[in-house]
Amino acid sequence: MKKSEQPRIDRVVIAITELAPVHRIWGEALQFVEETRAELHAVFIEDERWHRAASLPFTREISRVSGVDADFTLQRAIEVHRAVIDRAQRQLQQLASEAKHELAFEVLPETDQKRIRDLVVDGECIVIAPAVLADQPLFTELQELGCRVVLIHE
Amino acid sequence: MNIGAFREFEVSTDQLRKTCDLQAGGFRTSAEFPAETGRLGQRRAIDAIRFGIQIRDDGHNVFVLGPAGSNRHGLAEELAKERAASESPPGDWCYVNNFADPERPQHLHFPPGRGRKFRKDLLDLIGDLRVAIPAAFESDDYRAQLKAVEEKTQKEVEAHAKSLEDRARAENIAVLQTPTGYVLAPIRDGKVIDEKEFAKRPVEERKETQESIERLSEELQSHIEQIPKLQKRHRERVKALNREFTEHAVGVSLSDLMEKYLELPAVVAYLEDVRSDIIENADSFQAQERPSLPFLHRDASQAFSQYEVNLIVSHDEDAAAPVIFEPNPHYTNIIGKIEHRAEMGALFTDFRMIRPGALLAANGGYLILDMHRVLTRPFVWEALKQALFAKQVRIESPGEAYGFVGTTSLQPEPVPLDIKVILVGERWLYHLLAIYDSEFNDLFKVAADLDDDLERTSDNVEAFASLIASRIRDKGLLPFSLDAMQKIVEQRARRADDSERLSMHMGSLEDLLTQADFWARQHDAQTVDANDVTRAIDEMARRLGRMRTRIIDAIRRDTLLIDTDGACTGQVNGLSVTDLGEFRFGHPVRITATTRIGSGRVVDIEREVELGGPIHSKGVMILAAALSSRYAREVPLSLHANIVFEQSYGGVEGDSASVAELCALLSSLADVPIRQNLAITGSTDQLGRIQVIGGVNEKIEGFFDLCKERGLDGNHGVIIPRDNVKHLMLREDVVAAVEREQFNIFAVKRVDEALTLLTGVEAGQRDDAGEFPEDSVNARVEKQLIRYAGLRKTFAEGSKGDEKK
Repeated sequence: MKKSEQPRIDRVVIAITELAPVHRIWGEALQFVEETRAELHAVFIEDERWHRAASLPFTREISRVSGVDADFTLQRAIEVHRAVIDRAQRQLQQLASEAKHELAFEVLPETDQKRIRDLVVDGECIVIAPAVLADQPLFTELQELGCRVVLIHE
Repeated sequence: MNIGAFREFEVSTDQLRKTCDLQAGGFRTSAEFPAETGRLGQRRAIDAIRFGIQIRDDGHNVFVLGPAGSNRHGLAEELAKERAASESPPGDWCYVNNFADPERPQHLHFPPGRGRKFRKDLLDLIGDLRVAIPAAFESDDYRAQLKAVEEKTQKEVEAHAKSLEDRARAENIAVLQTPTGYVLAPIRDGKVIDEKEFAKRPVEERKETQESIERLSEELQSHIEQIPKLQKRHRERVKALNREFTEHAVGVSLSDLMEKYLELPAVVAYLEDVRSDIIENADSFQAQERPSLPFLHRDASQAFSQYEVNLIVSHDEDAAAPVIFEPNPHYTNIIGKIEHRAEMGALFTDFRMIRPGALLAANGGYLILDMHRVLTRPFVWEALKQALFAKQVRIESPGEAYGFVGTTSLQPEPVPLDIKVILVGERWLYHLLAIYDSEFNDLFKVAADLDDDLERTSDNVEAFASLIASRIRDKGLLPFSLDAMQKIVEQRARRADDSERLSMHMGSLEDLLTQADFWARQHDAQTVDANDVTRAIDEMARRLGRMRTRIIDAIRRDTLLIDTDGACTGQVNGLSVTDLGEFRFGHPVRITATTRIGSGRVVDIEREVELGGPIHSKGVMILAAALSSRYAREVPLSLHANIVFEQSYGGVEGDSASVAELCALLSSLADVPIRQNLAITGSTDQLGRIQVIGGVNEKIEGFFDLCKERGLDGNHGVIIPRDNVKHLMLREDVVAAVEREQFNIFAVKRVDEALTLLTGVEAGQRDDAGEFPEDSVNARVEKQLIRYAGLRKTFAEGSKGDEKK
């Protein structure tokens, strides 16, 4: 598509989760930003399911590498969560810095539909998100709002 | 008695210097003489060398015995090359990688010239593979097949997981992914339920849910355990794919090469190993991403270097067998070495860094070594013997060979050795080795002993002149005139210390030729004449003559006391020679003897103070025997005599002064003075016969120079053994002085003759009654010895009487 044929985009929203392929999502988002000069906004969608699963006393986490299981407590869920968010934020900030773009970053509970709605309804917006997000209520919400969503497969 | 009274002992002037006459050949300069090789007069040694290099037996290596400068290296090399020219060149040797054990590189043997071709063929092959293999991996076909393999594996993994997830969902359980693993949680209407909601569920349902999670967890764990197996299977599939593509890429090139070397099974087997290794390590040849640290980068081209060929010995197809002279035979120059490359502070090596030594370079041919250098370079002699005994060359450092080093290094496969070694060295080295090294005789069974000199027959002189002329031409010197050539022949006789022989010492001959050429060029001559040769000889003597000048100067200034006129009892002028290697000179020494009553002992003062060598001491002991056998045999020898080399502060060796010592002793006993204008040299046996000595020319010239310095009066002279006359090759100025009757040279056969000459008094022969003539020297000696015996007896009886009292 030629630049003149490009639809107007005011904001590119990067939606990531704990398991999102950050580099691939960033690569896709960067293309849109450089073509449209849109503002860049990253949103980390907290997965509430983990906290719910962690609240159950019998939940265990099975290692992907060794198959060994261990208690999956709320504390463990919070620790993992925080580490993942920090890492994702660092990665995105570095990538943005290298590409000389400003990046806003925030963490949202998946249930905070109001904030999500605010982000996407204010001007023309495109959401770049991992494919796993397709199972989340957020994805349904975005579709209902008529927002354009690009899903990135791992 | 005037010196003229002793004409019967005079040596005629024609016997003082045997001149050379080359007029018969009709040549005017050296340029016209025919060529002659350096083999003149060396028939025996040449036959020995030829025998040694032709006989095909392991222990028949050759030792060429001869002094430095005798052309021993040149002759050995010339004969070896002569033999090698009729022999085919040996094959080429290469070291290649041993893929099964890289620390033990293997060798390959090729017909001459083919090793070099093989190395080029392998380099070409590597060049092809460097392009063909990466190209194969970058082809669309390969990528498509690799993608298919990856998808197949992915499907296998996912199929298992999907099946588990489906079954879990059917039981209202979700499989959630965390960054490090999986969590199984109960769901209701697709949403994970929390603790409060779960607690609201009926007990039975909660129990079922927990059991389901437990069962599914076990299945999930089982699935996770399967993943490494799936990954391994995936790697094997990728590897098989890589092999297939690599095999296709290398197949044609390698098959062509194998076809080319079909008659060399070892080479074909090696190429088969190359094929297997390339296919086995196909992954190594793909373009790889650069590592984060640049110095760790090893591109695919380095992986190909292991297929290179290290050509260590190569010969042309039409060459002769090799003849190698290694002038610096240290260990690595003989055996070879394994070089190392420093990388990041560590040392690395491989088969490409194996370097051959002279043994491999000469393998199949001849190796010439200087034995003195072999013995003075550490470890070389033992390593050389080991290689010859084992008939193979094992390239390893001395540290490894002797077990000093424990570091792992390469152990190249030993190369079979078929070589003839020719050692060149001094005679004493050969004899010492023959006595003290039991292995030497097993390995060097052929001795080629070079002759030092040549008999001076007319034929030999002509041939020798041709040899000189050849050397002049070979060295590019000015032509030598006929008189210069004659002068050189005469100098060679002087060098041989014998007027009837010619020295074959080629080194000193070439030095003389070069130096004579130099002096001729100094006055822009086109031809070297006799004066230039004389100048060369004189200048050499002058350069080395500092000590001689100092001795003559000391005598002139009466620091060193030598009388050259008058007469003195118990004192005689002996003659000594000092050898400085390329120059030696003679000078007189004052020998004195004193006698008194004693127990029959002749004391050698030099020996008493440990300045006398064993031969000198033997000579003095013979004096006592000579006295006992010649005089007063019926009475005990009852004298005590001391003999001294006056003002001699260094060592004295040799018995050439024993006649002089005996004459001094007899002079003392007889109380007859000895003429100091004569000097004497010669050794005596115990019967009073005079035997030959060495350095006769230098000794005569030494006394002549001193007398000339003080003024020749016609009465000065030297007494030499009659048997030394044939050795006379005196300087022309000495001969001229004798011809003008300014100087005399006498030759004697017996001590009595010498005694008569020295004292001017008849020595005296026993008559029929066994008595010496009255007043003869011998009569006086005998009378004195009898007197000593009587005195001793009286003294002994007196002593006994005193004891009785």
